[in-house]
Amino acid sequence: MEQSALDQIQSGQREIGLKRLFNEDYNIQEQLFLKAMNSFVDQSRHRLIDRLQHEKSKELLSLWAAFFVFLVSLSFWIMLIRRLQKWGGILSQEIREHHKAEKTANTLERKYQDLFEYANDPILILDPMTYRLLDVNRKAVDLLGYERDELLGLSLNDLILGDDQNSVEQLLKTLCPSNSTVSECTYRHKDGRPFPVEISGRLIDAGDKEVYQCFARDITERRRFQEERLHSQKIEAIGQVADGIAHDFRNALTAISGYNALGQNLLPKRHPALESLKRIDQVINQANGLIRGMLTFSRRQETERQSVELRQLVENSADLFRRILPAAITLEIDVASVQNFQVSADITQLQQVLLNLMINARDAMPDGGTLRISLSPASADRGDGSDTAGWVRIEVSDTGIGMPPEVQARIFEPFFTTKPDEYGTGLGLAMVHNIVSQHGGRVEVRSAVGQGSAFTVLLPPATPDSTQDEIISSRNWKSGAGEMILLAEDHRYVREIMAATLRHVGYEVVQAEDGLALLDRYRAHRDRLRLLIADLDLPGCSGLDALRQLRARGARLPAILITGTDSRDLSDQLDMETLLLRKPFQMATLARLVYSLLHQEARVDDRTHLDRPG
Amino acid sequence: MIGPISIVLVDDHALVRDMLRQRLAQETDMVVLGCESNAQDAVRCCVATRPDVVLLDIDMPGLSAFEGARSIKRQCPGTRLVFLSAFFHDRYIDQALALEATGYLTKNEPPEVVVQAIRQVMTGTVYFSDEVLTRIVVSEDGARLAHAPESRTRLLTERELEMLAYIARGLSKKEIARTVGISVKTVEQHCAHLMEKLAIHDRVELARLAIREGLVEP
Repeated sequence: MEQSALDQIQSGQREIGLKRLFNEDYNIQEQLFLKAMNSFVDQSRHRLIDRLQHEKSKELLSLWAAFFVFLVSLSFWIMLIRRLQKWGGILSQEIREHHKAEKTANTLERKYQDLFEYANDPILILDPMTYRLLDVNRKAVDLLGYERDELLGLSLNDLILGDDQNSVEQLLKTLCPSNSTVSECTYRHKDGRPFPVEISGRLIDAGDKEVYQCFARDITERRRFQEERLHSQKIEAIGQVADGIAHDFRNALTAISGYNALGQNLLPKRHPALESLKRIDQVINQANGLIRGMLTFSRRQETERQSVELRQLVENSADLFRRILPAAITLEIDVASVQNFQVSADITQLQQVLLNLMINARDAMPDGGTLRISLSPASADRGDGSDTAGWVRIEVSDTGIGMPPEVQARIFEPFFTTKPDEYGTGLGLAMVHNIVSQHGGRVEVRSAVGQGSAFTVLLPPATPDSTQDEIISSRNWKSGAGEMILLAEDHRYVREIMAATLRHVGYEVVQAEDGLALLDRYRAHRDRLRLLIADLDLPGCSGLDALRQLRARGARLPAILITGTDSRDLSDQLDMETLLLRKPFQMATLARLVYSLLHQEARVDDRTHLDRPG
Repeated sequence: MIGPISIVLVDDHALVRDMLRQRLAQETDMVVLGCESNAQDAVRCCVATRPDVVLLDIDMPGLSAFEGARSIKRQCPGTRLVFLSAFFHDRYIDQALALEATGYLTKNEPPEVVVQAIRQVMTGTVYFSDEVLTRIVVSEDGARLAHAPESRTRLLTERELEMLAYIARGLSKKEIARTVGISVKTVEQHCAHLMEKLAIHDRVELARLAIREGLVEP
């Protein structure tokens, strides 16, 4: 019973167990109870301790677990925060970069737009299927003459001349992102005017679809340069051939002319054959003229440039022009708008230009008409990039049969002619072109079949130097009247050339090789001498010393002292009758100076060569 | 007693040479001592006969007329040089002036002018036509042609110009050496210098330049 009560107590039925124990025998029960209690307490204590220990372990474990969890959580959160911070940084950087990229893209877009819009070459964006224009830049608008909106409705074929359409289409078909092809074709301006264009393009990705991006460069100027270069090469080749032919031709003519002269000398004065021999002379002269014409194509032609007043040239040539024109052709000359325009030119060649243009105009009007020669200032901006400001424009126009474009394209080619064989050599206009080019000018033509032609020659003005040369060479050359000049120069060859020049222009020359000879010759010819020319550095006695001696003896004749090395200002040592001429100087300058001194003209003011007493 | 003016005629064109000989033979104060067809023979003839005047055509095969003239001038200082050319070529005139030639005539002139020129140079002066005289410039170095063409050939010496002319005529270095009477090595040196100065190292281009510059006839 006790045991069962104890078991009950132990098993958790303490109340029942205890009641059963106490009710039955207190002492025993008490002892038992105490024993049981002790045992129980011990057991309980152990159990409690165990439990407590167990609980404590469990709690500790829980605590540790919680702590661990806390740590893990903390790490996690720290990591998370850090990651979030990092992600936030990345995100904000990405946002910044995105903004930056967006800004860059916008800038690039603007740049591209600017490049596209303001590119110096016309750019056309085309639909690859229909060749319709999707976009064009300003230059394309300017080039083609259409408004932008008008262009966007057009196909590329609307802008290209018929013959070139197929080739351009073929070109476009070959385009791909990695292939850019270049080709030349002819575009048509809105006003119908054709012009050459170099077209290049590639297939590009425009975002939503692929398009053709085409560059259409106006190559009018380049073509012109190419044509001029080609023409120059042809002329050079012809010049070389002409030079060779002219050389042999002239030798033959020299022999014919010489033998002809010999024959004439051998015949008595009234011999009937003389007339025929003189005719041969005429033919020889004509042949020499032909040689000169051939030499126009040679770089070694015999030219003499001088300043030519164009209005005077045209007016002076008017009589000659009238003589070659039949009565049915009316000649109009309008030179009023150009006053005193000087060009640096070979006057004979310039006349040749006018004459060739006149003859062409005459032949273009077999039934008569009006031939007009006009002079006018050239406009500065001629629309082709060339600067002709300050130039003069000579226009020779006719109301004749005109020329189709294919003839116009070839008229300046040597040996190209539309005239019958017996009338044209095909060299006339080539000669015009060559002469004008050599004078730094340009020649152009406008013509329409049935309406006539107009040739325009554009010439640059003479430079101040060439104007000076003109004054030198055209005035006072061959103007001497046998006046005697004493020339003292120690350089024999120079002295001989100067003497020959002075004799050639009409003076008598006495020469002296040094200062003493100068004084001696002066004494011998003092009554007839009109002028003294002396080198400043003569051996024996300098030119200046010799002149001083002569002045001391009362010689009042004008004098020219020549110096090359002496750069001193000698003006205070020269009297009013003496000029200082500095080397280098041209023979024509010497002739002009001599004339001026002998004729007491207004004193010459030649800043480059002369010093005068102040 | 002063004898007649002795003359040597040099021209590769037999017709011109014979015509001039016949024409000059008509002048009682002139005597033609020799007629040659190239500069080399002209030098030999002048050295042998010492003429008063040598009338030299410029463009002849073989030794250049200017080189021949230089040789005549050196060996026969009393002989006056008168050049006779088909045309007025600036380059030729400039070279003639550099040689202090006493005359320069073109074949365009009638034979009477040749006679007159010979007489004039015998008076101690020079004979140049109007076109040439107006363009002569007197400088410290002597006489030269005004507005003479400026080109790269200005960089060349007289000898190099001469070599360039021979190259343009198609002569080999050996032929040039034989013609001028110098060694092949010297010719090579001159050629190397002129090629360097002109920056042209191609014989065809050199020939083109020489023709353009009027150093030789095409």
